[in-house]
Parts: sequence; structure tokens; C-alpha cells
Amino acid sequence: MKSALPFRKLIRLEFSVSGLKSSEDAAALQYGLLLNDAIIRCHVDFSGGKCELLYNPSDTNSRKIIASVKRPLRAKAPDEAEINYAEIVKSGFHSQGAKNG
Amino acid sequence: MGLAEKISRVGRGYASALPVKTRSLCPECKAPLPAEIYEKSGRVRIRKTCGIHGKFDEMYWESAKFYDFARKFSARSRGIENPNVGEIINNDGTNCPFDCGICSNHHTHTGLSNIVVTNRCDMSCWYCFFYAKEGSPIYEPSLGQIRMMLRNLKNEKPVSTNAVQITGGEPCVRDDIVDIVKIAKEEGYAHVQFNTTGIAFANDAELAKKVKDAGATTVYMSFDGTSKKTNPKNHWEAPFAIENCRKAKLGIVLVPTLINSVNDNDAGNIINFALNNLDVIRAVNFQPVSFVGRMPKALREKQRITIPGAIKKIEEQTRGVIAESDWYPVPCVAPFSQFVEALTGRRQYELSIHFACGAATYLFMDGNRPVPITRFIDVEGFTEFLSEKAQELEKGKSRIATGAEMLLKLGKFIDRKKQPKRLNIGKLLFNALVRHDYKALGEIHHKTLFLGMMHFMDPYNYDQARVERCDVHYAMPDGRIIPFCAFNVLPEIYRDKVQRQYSVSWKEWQRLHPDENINYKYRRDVKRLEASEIYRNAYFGQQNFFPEGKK
Repeated sequence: MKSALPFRKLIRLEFSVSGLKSSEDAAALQYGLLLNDAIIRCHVDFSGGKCELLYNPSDTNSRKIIASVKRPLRAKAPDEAEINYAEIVKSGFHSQGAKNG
Repeated sequence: MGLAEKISRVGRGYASALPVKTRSLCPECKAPLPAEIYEKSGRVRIRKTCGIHGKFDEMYWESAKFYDFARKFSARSRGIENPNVGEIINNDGTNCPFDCGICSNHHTHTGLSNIVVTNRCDMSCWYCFFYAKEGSPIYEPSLGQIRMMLRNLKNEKPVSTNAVQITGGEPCVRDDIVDIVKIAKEEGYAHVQFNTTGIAFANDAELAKKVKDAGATTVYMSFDGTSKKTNPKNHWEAPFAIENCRKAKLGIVLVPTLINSVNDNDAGNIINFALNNLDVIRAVNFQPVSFVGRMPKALREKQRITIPGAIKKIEEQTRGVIAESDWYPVPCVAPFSQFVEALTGRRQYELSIHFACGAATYLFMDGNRPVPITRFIDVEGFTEFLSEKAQELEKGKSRIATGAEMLLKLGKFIDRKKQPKRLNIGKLLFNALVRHDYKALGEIHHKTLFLGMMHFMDPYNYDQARVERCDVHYAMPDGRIIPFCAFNVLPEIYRDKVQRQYSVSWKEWQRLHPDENINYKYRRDVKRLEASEIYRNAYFGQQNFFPEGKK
């Protein structure tokens, strides 16, 4: 059994997205990005015109991800930071504080 | 108390009269689409248009009349206090159903949790997509990971689930399955059940006793029919599984997947079969079919059956003993929770799922006669009464006065002439609701049969308003908790994707388990099974509880 976490380091990538016409467009882009196994988490914010995601640097890079965003959408101005996967798993579990929106 | 009521992202009107706007998915590309649920010729349909793949128009429910009845029971939903809204990536539910984790928009706490403990299976059913094919990576979370997932579910606030379903693949292929049950009990789960073909329970006479001793409560056993044709999966083994569970005093829930034109005509027989084994079978939970992958429209129309259609078939096949009017949508029990919460001041389990997701009724045995609960209890009147009392309590009415009023007025909702003999349902309800004493309910289980319907969605009939309220959740080893109809309808971004991340190769699994045969597939000896007394007793000479002329 694979007890260890599947990743050590991931990269958090944030970039702007222009050309989104609706929240459905944003959701469709998010889905398309998540189909890439190298992209571990993703959220596209329609109102903010941006995408934030986590990717596995062993399998892809920000250039390829940005290039995968096809016209009429455009992605640019990437901002990257390295993150421990263990931290993501830990933050993903229910925390004690209330975060109900 | 605590959280405010949740409002659906598809609008307040999900429980309004038809037509109703919602959001759905394109079955081809999974693009989120605006959709409309509408009535046509007395049936309910859902339609949507994808800019690339065109129009889709699918059956939602067979009966607009039952839809109109069911929507009255939409329940208040309040979500959870500590959703898995990531601190690193926002998943606030604006892109539902692609934001699951549980997101902060989710309406309902986990009611029934699922833990996939393996993707191995000892069968190769042609229609199944859950099991690992030869050479594929094997997903089997470690005991530590399973404990972590169970604990994560328990950390939901203010109400956490009390029930876990151990599932797969076939969970019983794991040789540490008893340890998994023990872990679930250690983590505080009162109800531990297996989602299984039952074949392991049939072939291993000791397994039922071992898991029962470890704390398991129920075997949730697939049972698609009473004949070889309607149930090729485990027709021969089911009687042996039932017999072994009977000896171990381990309850069984029969789970038929209903497919129109395939086994829909066996629904009444399945209930009859259950009534013949009431000492061990607690319930029958019908699951109208969900379609996976692409399927031609003509075939979908032929095989599609939904909750009202299944209920109608049961009415016909039981000759009206179990009528359409005996069924209620699951959220109809919300007033029970509301009342107990108002009385105790403690947040209760909330079955605030969408009214179209599930329905149920209860059969009580009056001698040899099954009697639906609705025949002697005014369900609507009683739930309205409870709701009223809950509101009074919330406004400050005395608990003692309310308890006394309950004692005085409960009887008017019960028809004692039609109530099964030796059953004092009023006393049972009073004890459960006011005294929180459930012992007596447990004592009558051998004279009752719960009948449920649970209809999981597919991309064709997907309704975001239903996903938002789902309370059947899967825990994943990456810390997220995902609703059933996101986990299984979008496996490419949830189930399969995460299982791939946490899998080991076929070869690696074999290396780690040198004593196990990874290629093992079950082969049945039909002649031997059919010759046995257990098999023959199960299918021949059964009492018919729904004979001609009976109602």
C-alpha cells in the first residue's frame, strides 16, 4: 500500500485569464485544467479574472499550463511559489475554525 | 441555531412548481450548462444545450404529479461550520461541481460516508467501471490512511456522520477487512456497513461472525433480482450469504439496481424475498440505474427508470399492498430532527437532501400481512405537528409543556384500528422523540422492513441543485470529502484521478503481497450451489405476501 504522500513539492501558480464571458466559462476552464493529471488543484475565478492552481513540477511547468489555455481565452502574468504537498493535505482536512461562507 | 440556512447557487426556486431553472452538465464534454426542469405529458424532463454538442433532453422523473407532491418536503439546510475551503486554493463552490472538498456552499453535512478500501474485485462484471483491470494500478489505502479519512469525516462540525460504508471494488478481498471495521469503531462510528456482492460472506462461513464481533452492523448486499436472469451477479451465492449472516446475527440490506426492461419486473419479488427473510434482512434499498459513459438516446430511454417509475412498478407488482401514496421523499423526516433539536438544544442529523434524490416507506408485519406505516399513521399531519412544536420551542415554549402536549396529541395521528397488533407506535415515537430512547425501535426490527429508493445521477440528468444537498460523501486520502454524484459522475477529476495518485503498480502490489493471488477471480460451481438445500429453500416454496386479490 502506498502510505506515503504521492507528492513532496508542488508549485502554486496564479495567472490572470481574460476572455471569460460567464461563470460557466470559468468552470469549464477549471474542469479542462483538472483533466491534466499534473494539475492537482485548480480554481478559476470568473469575477476576478484569474486562475490559481497547484501543479506537480515533475510532470509539467507553468509555460505548458499557460499554453494550454486556448483562444479565445488568454492567460498571462504567472506568479509561482513552491508548496509542500503535506501542507495542502493538512489544510484540506477539516480545521477547527468556522469557515462557513 | 448556529448556521444560517443555505441558499442554492442555482436559485431559491429549486423546490418551486415546474418549470424550474438549474445547472447541469454536457454529457459529452462536462461543460456546466444552464438547464431547465419542465413538465411534458405528465412527466418531468431536464433539457440543456451545449454550444458544441447540441441539445440534450432527458427524463428526470416519470411523474410530474409525484414531483409536485415531493417538492413540498424540501427541507431547510445549513451546511457545516468547517468546510474544506482551502487556505491555498479557494474552493468556495462558485464552480460547482468542480470545487468539491466539501466547499463552503455545500448544504448538507455527511449523512452516510463512504471509504473506498480497494479497487480490486474478484469479479469482472462487464458493466462495472469501479474495479482495477489486469495490469492496472492498485489503489488500497493503508490502515493509517483509512483512519485518517474516518477521523476527517468525524471532524465535521457541528454534526458529523455516524455511519460509514466500506466499499470498493469488493472490500472483502482485503485480508485486513476485520481490522478496518475495528478502526471504524475506534473512531466512533456507530454504524459500519459493507458495500459488497456478498460472495465472500457466502463462501466464508466465519467472515460474518468476525466482522460482527469487530463491530459491523450491516451488509449492504447487491441483489438485482430473484432469478438467474435478473441477477446474474450473485443469484446463487445470496442465499448462502444470508444464511451465514443469519447465524452471525448480522443484518443485511438488499440493494437492487433497477434497470427498466431488465429487472424492473422483479421489484415486487425482491420485496417478497426480503419479507421471507425478515429475521436477517433489514431493508431493501432500490437504486434506479445511473448511466456511465456514452449511451445512445434510444437505449437510455428504454432502460431509464427513476424513483416514481420504480414506485409505480412496486405498486403494480405488490397489487397495491405498497402503493405510491405510501412513499415519502427522504427530507420529510426533517421535522423530526427539527423537533429533537429544539427540545434538546443540540444540533441533530439533518436529512436535508434534495427531494428528488430518495424516497422511503416502512413496512410493519401484522401477523403475515405487511402494512405500510402510512396506513396507520398520518405522516403529513404528524410531521406538520412536529414542525409546529419545534417552532414553538424555538420561540421559548416550555419543554415540559411541549412534552405533555406531545403525549396528549400524538394519538390523533395514529389509527389504532389499523395499527398492527401488539405494536404501540405512539409509545415508540414518544420514547424516541421526547425521551431519546431508541431501544424499543431496535426490538421491533424483526417485524419491520425499511424500503428505500436512492437515485444517483449521471451526466444526462445531472442537476446541480441535487449535488449541493447531497449527504452521501466519499472521503479521499488527500483530505477532501466529495459528494457521491461528483465523485462518481466526474471520476476523471475526483475518484480516478486521486486513486491514481495514491496507487501502486500491479507489480509493486504483487511484491508487497507475495501470498496473495492478484489475478484471482471468483468462479462459481453452479451445479453444486443449485443442488444445495439453502439455495432451494431460498427461492422455492417462499410465502407470497402479495397474492392475487390482496390489498
